[in-house]
Amino acid sequence: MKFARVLPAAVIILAGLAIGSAIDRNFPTSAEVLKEPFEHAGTIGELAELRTMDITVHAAAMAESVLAHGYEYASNGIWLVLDVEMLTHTSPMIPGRMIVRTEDGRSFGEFPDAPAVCGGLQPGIRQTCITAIEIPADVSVAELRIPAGHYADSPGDDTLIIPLDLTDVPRLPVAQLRPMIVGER
Amino acid sequence: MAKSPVDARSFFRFFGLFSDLLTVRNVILLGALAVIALTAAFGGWSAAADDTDETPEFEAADEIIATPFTVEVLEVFWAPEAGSLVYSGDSMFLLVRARIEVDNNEAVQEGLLSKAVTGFLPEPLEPQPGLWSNSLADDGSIGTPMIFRAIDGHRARGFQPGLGGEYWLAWQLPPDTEPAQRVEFHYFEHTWRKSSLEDAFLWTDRRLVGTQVLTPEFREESGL
Repeated sequence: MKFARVLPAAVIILAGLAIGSAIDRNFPTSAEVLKEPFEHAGTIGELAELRTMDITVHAAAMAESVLAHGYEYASNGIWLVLDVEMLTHTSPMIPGRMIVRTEDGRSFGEFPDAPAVCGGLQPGIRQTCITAIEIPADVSVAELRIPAGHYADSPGDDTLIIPLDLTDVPRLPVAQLRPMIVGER
Repeated sequence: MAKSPVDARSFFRFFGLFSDLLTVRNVILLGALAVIALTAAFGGWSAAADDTDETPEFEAADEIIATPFTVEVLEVFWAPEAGSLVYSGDSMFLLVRARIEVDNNEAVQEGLLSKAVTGFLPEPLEPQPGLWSNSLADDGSIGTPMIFRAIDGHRARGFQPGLGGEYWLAWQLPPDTEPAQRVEFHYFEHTWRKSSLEDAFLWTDRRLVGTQVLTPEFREESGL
């Protein structure tokens, strides 16, 4: 009789342990979760409200050359010019570099030759910039990845992903870049 | 009186004293000890392979793959100034115009190319204090070059994947550097490897992949 009373309890305990172990094995660890960014889809002209900041890409264009700090920068390909507005929510932020990723897996934008950087945000102050990323002239489809963290692709934090159809953006001979300034567009 | 030749019989008698040591087991052991001693002395097969000089020697017009870069030298010369590329002061410049492309999915920082190419003059350069390209070179080389975009003359900060172009590699050397008519360039590849210390991928394991002898002329003006 005593054994009959203990057996269900033992089964329940063992089943609980098995379920807990299965959950532990199959759920990713926090380190694994924080290796990748939390991706949020967006579009050009649309406000994206992310955990740490709001981001709006107002417009994209292609330019043969860009002007920054009084110098003209030519290109071996073409410049993708981006008009960006950012608002950080609670703390100052120097966001990581924006990246253009093509369908074949190449990433453009790290270590840029043109100097305009969108960064130096203060909480509650809306700021805008015009920056450029050098890409091959034959790229027609890509995605723009804007980190809402300190590093490119913001591992462990939000990243805004905007699909780009580069056959459909205006083409300019030259575009003026602008570092981050305070104020709305 | 001439010295008499050694008596062959006494010779065999001498070795006969040790004949009981000459067993198959002892011969094998002696052979094994000889292999160990030779390996210790000369480093074995792997060291023997290292010793053979198989570093490729490239021709002047060759495309050189020094991962992640592909480099093709288009022009090389000495000049006492580098035009608008960089403030010259009192210097001697070795200038190389090259077509460079990276074979990588992500952009590569300019500094990696500076570490991937260096050169040697017939007489090794002694490092001199100052901001010369060879100030930190302890191998007698001309050190690390500054990289400029040929298309607009601006300093290169990085190389975007598949976006090949022409660049100037500029070595700014002390003004008393003799503009040698023969420079041996060395090219190094790097490996994209994860660092267990930093938990991040780095370009590391610099390895010589080839040499190239070029014959730069001296120009009074760089034309840049």
